[in-house]
Amino acid sequence: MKFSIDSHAPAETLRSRFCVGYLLGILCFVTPAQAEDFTAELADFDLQELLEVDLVYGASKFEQKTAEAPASISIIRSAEIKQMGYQTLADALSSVRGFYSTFDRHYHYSGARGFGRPGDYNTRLLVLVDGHRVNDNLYSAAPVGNDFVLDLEMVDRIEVIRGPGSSLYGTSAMFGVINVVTKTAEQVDAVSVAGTVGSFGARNGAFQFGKALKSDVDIVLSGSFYRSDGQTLFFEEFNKVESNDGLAEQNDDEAYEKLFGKLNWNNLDLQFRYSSREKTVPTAPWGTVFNHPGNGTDETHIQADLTHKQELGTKWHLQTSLGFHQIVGDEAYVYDYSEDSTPDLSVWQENFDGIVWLGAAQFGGVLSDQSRLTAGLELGLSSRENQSNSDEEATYLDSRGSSTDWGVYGEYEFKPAQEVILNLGARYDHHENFGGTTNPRAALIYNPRDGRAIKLLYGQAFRAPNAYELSYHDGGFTSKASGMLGPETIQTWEVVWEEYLGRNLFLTVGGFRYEIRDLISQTTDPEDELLLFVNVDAADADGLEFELKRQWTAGPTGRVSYGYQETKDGRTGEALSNAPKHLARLGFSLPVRDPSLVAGLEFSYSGGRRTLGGAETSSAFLTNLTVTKSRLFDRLDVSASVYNLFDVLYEHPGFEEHSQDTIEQDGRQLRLKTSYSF
Amino acid sequence: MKILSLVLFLTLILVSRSVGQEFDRTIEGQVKAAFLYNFTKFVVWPENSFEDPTAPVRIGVIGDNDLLQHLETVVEGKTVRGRPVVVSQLETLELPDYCHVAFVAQVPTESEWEAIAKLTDRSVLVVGHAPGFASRGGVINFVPNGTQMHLEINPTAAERRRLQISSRLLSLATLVSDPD
Repeated sequence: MKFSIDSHAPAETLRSRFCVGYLLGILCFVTPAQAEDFTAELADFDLQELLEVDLVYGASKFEQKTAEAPASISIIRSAEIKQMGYQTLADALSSVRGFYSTFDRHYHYSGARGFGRPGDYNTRLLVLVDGHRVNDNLYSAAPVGNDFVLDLEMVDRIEVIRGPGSSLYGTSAMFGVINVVTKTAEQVDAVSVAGTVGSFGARNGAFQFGKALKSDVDIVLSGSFYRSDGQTLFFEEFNKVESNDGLAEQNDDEAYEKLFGKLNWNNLDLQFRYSSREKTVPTAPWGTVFNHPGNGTDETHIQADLTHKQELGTKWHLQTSLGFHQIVGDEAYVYDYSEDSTPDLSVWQENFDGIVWLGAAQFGGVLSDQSRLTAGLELGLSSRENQSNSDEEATYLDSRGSSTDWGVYGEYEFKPAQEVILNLGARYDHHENFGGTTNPRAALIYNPRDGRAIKLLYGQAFRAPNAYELSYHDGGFTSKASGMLGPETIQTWEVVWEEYLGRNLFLTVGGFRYEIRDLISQTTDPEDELLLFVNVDAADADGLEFELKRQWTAGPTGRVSYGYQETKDGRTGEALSNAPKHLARLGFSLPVRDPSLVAGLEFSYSGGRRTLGGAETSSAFLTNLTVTKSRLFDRLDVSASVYNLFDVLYEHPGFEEHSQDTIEQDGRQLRLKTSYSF
Repeated sequence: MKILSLVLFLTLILVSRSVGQEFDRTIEGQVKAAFLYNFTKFVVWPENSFEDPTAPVRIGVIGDNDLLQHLETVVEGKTVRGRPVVVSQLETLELPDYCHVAFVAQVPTESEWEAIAKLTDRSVLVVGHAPGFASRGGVINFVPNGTQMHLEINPTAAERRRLQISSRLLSLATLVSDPD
C-alpha cells in the first residue's frame, strides 16, 4: 500500500527549482519589449480576439459577452491550447480554476469544484461539441482523455460554463457545461499534415483540411491515429514472485483513430465525429490476472448531427436538429480460477452498444430593447441500450433495453435598467425511467460600469439514472441490477465578481455552495452481499475561486488561479475521497525574442487527495514547458514539450476495483510535434 | 501554498504595470490594420460596388504610411468571399471609383470633415480614429480605452450607404447615432 510518498526530489530541491523557473519567468516579463512586429500574428486574430472580448454561446444558447452571462465562465482559446501543449480535454480543463483531473491508467476523469469520486465516470459534467451532447446514452459519460471525440487541433475555443446547466440542457449538467467550439473552414483554411513522437513509444499522425468554397459551402475534415507502447509499471501490491515481482510489462499500450468532418451549406450544418480507442489496463482491476495483456478496453463513439438554422425576420431565429449517436465497445478481463500453481485462465467479456436518436427545436430572439427569449424542445429516443457479459461457461447478462426522454425549456433575459440584467430559466424533463423533474436557474447581474460585473446565481440541476446503473449486473457473482432509481439533484448558490483592472488584466473572484442529494452510488445489500446502485448518498461543498488573467493583444498572456473547496459527505460529514482542498496554477506564454517563437510554462499545485483506504496522497507540484515555433520556412510549425519537467512522483487515489490504494502517475515525458501546411 | 499563490498574483500585477504601457502603444498601428482587414469579412457591399465577380476588395488609407505597410502584410494571400484584398495609399478624400473601405488615419481637418459628410451616398465603409467620428459622417470609429481598442459603429450611417453590417460586428461595438 502506498501512502504519502516523497517525490523523487526532496521538497527543498523542488522549491529551489521552482524559484529558478519562476525568476526566469519574471525576467521574461520585465525585459523591455522592442517594437516587435506582431502583424503576421494579428492577421490571424478574429474580431473577438482583437477586441479582447470573450463571447460565450453555451451559457444561454445565444452568443453573449461572458460578463453578461448567467454563470462563472472561463474560455480557453486555441492559441493557449497550442502554446501550453495541452494534449487532452482533461489537460485543458485542469488549466482553469476549480478543475482537476484523475487518471487510473484506464480513463481520464475531470473533477470540478471538489467533486470527482473514485470510480465516478464523467457523468456530472455535460460536454458538448458545437452544442451537441457528447455524453453517451448508456453511462452518461463524457470522454475527456485520449478517447475524446476529436483532436484538440480542431478546437477554436472551449467554453467552461460552471454551475448547474439543467435549466437549458437537462441531464448531466450538474457541475458545468463544457462547450467545445470547433474551428470554421475559414479558420482552418489550409491542408496540413502533422506528425508527433513522444515518450513511451507514442506516435501520432494527423491531417487537417479546411476550405470555404465559393458556392457558400464550407468543408472541414480532420483525421488522426495514435499508437503508444506504454510503460513497464511497478505496483507494490503485486510485488510477489507469482505476479512478476510487481512489474506490469507490455500492459499499458494504447491506440486510437479519429475522424471529424463538418459540411456547411447555407443554413445547413452536417457534422460527424468518430473516435475509436483501445487500451490495455495494467492495474489488474477486479482481481484479474496481473501482467496479462488480455485485460483491456475498446470503445468507439460515432456521432452525426444535422442542424438547420432559419432566420425569422431580423429578430428571431429557429434552429432544428437531428442527431444519431452511438457508443459501442467491449472490455475483456482475464481471471485465474485455479486453486494451485497451475493457471486456470478464463476470459470475462463485457459488451455494450448504445444508440440514441436526438431531435431538437430551438427558437429565440429579441423581444424588445431590454428583453430576450430562448425556448426549445428536445427529444431523445434511446433505441438501443445493450449490455452483456459472459465467459466461456455462460452468458450472465444480456440486457436489451430502450427508453425515451424529452425536455422543454425556456430562458428569459431582462434588463430593467442599463446596469442590471435578470436572467431566469427553467426546464422540465421527462424520463421514462423515473418521471418528471423541473430545474430552474436565476441570475442577477449588475454591471455598474464597463468592465465590472457582479453576479448572484442560483440553480438546480439533475442527473438521470442511466442504463448501466439501472440494468447492469454480473449474474450474481458480485452485483445485481438496481431496477428502480431516481435522479440525483444539486442546488448551487454562487456569487461572482468580475473586474477588468486595466492594462489587459481580468480578475474573477467567486464563492459557491452546493448540496447534492440522492447521489447514486454502489452499495452492498446486507441480505445477499451483492452490489447494486442506490440513491443513497449526499454531498455538500463550499468553495472559493480566484483567477487573474492577463491577455495582451499579441504577446505574453498569463493565468494565475487558486481554488479552495471543501467537500463533505452529506450523511457522515466526512471529507470526500479524491477531493483536493487546494488547487493553484500559474500558466503563462510569452514570445521569446520573436513573435513566432513562444514558450509556454505551466506550474500547477494540487493539494493531497483522500484515498478510499483512508490515507492521503501527498500534494503534487507539477511543471510543464512547451516551446512552439510557427511558420518555420513559411510552412512548418514545430513544437517541443516536456511534461512533468522535474520528474515529480505523484499519485491519484485508486478506485474500488483496484488493489492499489493509490496509482502512480507519469514521470517526465517528452513530445515533439511537426506540422506542415500545403 | 496559499502564500505562494498570493505572491504569484502580486507579481503578475507588478509585472504587468511595468510592461503593459509601452508594449501596446507600439502595436496600435498593427492592431488597426488587423481590424480593417477583419471588417471586410463582416460587411456586405451592394452588387454594383465591384467591377466583376473576381474584382478585389479595396482598402484605401488616408494619411498614415506605416499603417499601409502593416495592412499589406495582413492582407497578403487572403481572400474575402473569394475576392482578393488590395491596399492603397490615398492622398485625399476624393475616393477612386471602386473603393470599399476608407481609413482616415489622422484627425480630420475642417475641410476633411466636410469631404466626409459629402461621401454619404458612396457605398464606402468610412473608418476613423477621432472623437465623434462615427457621428459626423463616418461609419466606424476606433476608440482606445486604456490598452484595449473599442469600436463605435453608426448603423444608420451604414444603412444610408447601403452597407450591410453583420450583427456579430454590431454586437461587439458601441452603437452611436447621428446628432439630432
